[in-house]
Amino acid sequence: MASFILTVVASWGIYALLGMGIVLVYRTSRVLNLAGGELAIFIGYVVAIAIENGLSFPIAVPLGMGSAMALGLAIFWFTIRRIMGEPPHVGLMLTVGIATILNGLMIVLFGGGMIAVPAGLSGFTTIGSLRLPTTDVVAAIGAWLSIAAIGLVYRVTNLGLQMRAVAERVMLSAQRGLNVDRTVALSWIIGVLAAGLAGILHGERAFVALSATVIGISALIACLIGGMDSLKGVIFAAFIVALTESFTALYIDPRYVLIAPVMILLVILIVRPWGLFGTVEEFRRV
Amino acid sequence: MRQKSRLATVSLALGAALALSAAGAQERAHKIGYLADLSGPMQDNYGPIVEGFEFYVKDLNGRGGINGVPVQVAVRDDQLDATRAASMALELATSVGVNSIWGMSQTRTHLAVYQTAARNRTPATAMFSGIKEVLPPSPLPYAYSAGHVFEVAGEVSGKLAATMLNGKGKMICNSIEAPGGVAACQFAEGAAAAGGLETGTVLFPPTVTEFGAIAQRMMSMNPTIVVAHAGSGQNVGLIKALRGAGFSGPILMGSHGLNEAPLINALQGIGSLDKLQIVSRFASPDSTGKELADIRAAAQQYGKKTPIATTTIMGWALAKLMDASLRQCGYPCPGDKLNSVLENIKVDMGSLMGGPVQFTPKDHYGTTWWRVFQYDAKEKKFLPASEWLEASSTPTLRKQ
Amino acid sequence: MMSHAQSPRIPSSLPISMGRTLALCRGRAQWLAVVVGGVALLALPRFFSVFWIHLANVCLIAIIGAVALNILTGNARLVSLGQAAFLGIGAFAAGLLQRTYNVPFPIALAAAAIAGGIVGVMVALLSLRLRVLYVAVTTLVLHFAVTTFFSFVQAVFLDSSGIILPLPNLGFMELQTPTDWYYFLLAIAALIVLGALNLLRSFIGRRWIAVGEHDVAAEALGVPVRWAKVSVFAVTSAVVAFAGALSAYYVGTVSFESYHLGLAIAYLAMIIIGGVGSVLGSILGAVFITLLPYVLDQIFLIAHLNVRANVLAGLHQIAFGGLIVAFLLFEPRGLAEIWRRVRSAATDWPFRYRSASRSVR
Repeated sequence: MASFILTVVASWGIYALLGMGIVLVYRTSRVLNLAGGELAIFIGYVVAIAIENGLSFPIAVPLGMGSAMALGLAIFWFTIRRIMGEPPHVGLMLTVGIATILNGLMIVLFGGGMIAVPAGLSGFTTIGSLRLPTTDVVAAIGAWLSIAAIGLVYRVTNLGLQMRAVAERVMLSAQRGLNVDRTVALSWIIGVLAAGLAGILHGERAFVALSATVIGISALIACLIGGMDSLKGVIFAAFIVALTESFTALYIDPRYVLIAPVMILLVILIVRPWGLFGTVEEFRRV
Repeated sequence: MRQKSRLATVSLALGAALALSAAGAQERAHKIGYLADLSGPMQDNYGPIVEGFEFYVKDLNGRGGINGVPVQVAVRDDQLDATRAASMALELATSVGVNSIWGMSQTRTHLAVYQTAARNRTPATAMFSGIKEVLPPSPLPYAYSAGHVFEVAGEVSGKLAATMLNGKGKMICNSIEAPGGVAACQFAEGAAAAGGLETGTVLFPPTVTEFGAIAQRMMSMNPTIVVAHAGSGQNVGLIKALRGAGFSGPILMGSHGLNEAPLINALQGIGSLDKLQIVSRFASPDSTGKELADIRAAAQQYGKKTPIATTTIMGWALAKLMDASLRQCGYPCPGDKLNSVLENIKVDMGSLMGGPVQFTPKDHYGTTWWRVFQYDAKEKKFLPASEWLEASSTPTLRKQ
Repeated sequence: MMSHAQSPRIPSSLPISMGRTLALCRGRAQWLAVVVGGVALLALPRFFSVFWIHLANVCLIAIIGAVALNILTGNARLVSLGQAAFLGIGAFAAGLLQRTYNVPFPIALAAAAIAGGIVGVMVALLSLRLRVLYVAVTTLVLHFAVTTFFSFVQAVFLDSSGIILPLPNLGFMELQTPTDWYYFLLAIAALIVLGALNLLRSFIGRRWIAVGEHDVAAEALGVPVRWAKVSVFAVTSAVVAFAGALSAYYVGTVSFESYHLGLAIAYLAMIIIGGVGSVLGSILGAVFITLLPYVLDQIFLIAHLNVRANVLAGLHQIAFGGLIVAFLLFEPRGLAEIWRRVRSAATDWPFRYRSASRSVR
């Protein structure tokens, strides 16, 4: 039972982290980032290859984080900046194109096979009478620390305030002198950083592979269940998704692990399409 | 007028030159095609199979070919996509003009390739696993397999599990939710139950990378032995998670496109390599025998720097089958003539496999021999842990 | 109205009347182009090898699917990620019927279209209230649900690696060689393209376009928006399922693994790169995307770049994604727009442009 709870907490953390990345960029730039999974695993590969080539874990991870931030900035600079203000499907297809490019890059640069991100910690941690796999413990701690850090930045710092302002009222913020472009750029940087961290932690806990980009789908489902523009929502919904997946694996049948959260999303789409915590969109009665 | 006639003569001369050069370029060679997934995420599995095949062909051509006629292999990449595989098979059969297709990649492409090959009267022989459509009583025409058909591999693994546990205990089979995987576990359960074991199956989607909860579920079913028929990448994650969840019994892996070195690397240091076994039709790369020495010599000669794997042996064995069939066919050897040769062929594989590869008109797979290899921590190799066990090509299904 | 005796000679291509504006073919030049193009297409099998005829067939099937998707996503602006699901529904409907009841080819195709239409209606009803983004999400959910359902059906009930389909018999001819298929698919694709062009010119099509441009305004103008959304989903899904069934018979096998999200993305790329909202765009995009991997292979071969095969698929993906991004950023109206610019540059030369108020089709 204890290991089940740990599994859920670790998955919850990773999905919430990745989901936060998606929600952050949606809030400021209104682009639904379908490339979350690819971004995460790409950075995971960077760290895994760095470790394979001799760097130690505490050095490789900041390297990964740095590349994630650079990648976020690059994506903003070359693409998002030019399509701000266009209808939503443009941004959607753009992220699909970016996801495909990243997929190809992973094959060309990294080979696309399965690699682990060894943190140098393996075996079991003993807490009291519980014997828990260390990799899960590290993943859980890492994920929640990152979530707390990003949440703190968002709530407490000036930057966070600016991002919230741009998310709520773009025109007003611009009129008040906020550099909207810079704020959106920074939100993309943080968003891709969050995705990258999720990928590193997933690689630490399991491994990185081309097929692992499916965590992006789980995180996206969490975003949609929670509300695309709500950070609270995505954290709560990530819990639902992680719990559903692990519960289905353990008590129902692992074949349905990936379809169970989709069914929950379907129910939400029928009943409350804007998500549990999302802004109630006034859907025109057509 | 003069200009026109000059033009005419020049073009006639050019045309004649081209025609002559084309005729001259028609050399004597056996043209065969090889289809595999060379660029997708499973390339680590298929790469060595192609390599093994190509080593054999280079070696063969170096010795003068088949009765003086060299073998030309056209390799095409199907990128694990059924439609592309069918297109490439068509290109090989029509544009390149091969008389046979060898190799093939994952089972999802097999039906499409077999259909295209049959429509163009070109026999296709799969090495990486195989689908049940090559089994008796009525195999698809022009379709053969010399690899691990999931149904037969499943039954063998079930029987082995029962033997290893002396008929007492519980076997849990796991695989991916794909037709081959499901079949493997069905037959494994059937055979294990016939041997007196309790059984159970756990299936998961092919894209799962995190096996914590799945391993916990398997533990809750109290297995004594676990039989794993998933792909080698997922098997790594599964084995790690199983040992992490506290399972200390033996784990028997079906060798579907297995490459030993990455497996050993990935599981090092977690104590996950004990009691790890593989069941395979082919000798392990650390076995002895004349044929294996030949493979190692050829690999070295043609520049392979890493040690050979079971998959290299698979490629070499397939090439041996190709050699024997072309030899019997003679030159020139059109597709349907080669097909009738293959339908009645028997090739001795020596130390590579436990018995000959034999096809009949009603059986495009044949009786097979399987062996268990267990990981030896001292030698850091997979060494034989059983004799060669015979398995028929008509596995008996006992559905739950 | 101008009196013909006194008016100067007006080129027959100018849209001076309602009939002319809506006409598919304006003027002698366009008719000539159609005839020449038709003859070229019919003569194609004589000059190309079997492999290229096969590729042409794959293109033709892709054209059918792309035209349908473009009407749904390009004209009616209902972004759909469910293309792979509908192709699969068509393939499985035809395959299961063929396998169980040995139905004749035309019946299987019709059944596939009906199945696609029914599921399309269901999806439409589900997404009536939703905005663009959520429609896309609903179709994504449909994709996962359908592919999982088919994998279940295939593993449990079919117990095999897929369904095998025999070569179809049309009664008056059996579709055996790629050349037979070529003429058959050419006829079907031509009918679908003509149908699409006509639909878009008709009042049904104009309603769909109106709903796509601004559904609230359309409602205010009296367009029955709900009917329009349901009908566009129904018709286009039926056509896509039809294309899926055709493809199943052509390749000869049906297996759920072929219907993955990448297929849906490829079709979306076809309409983006080809040009959203235009039938010409669908055709250009479908041919472009279908032939892209083979052309890339040839380029690498000719440039003697000797790329390792295991890197080639990655390069395909990068090229593919890169083209999507590039077209979205720089040429959002796609290849069709490029074609139009080239054509008007050629016809208007030496003038820069003809008139400021030309209607663009």
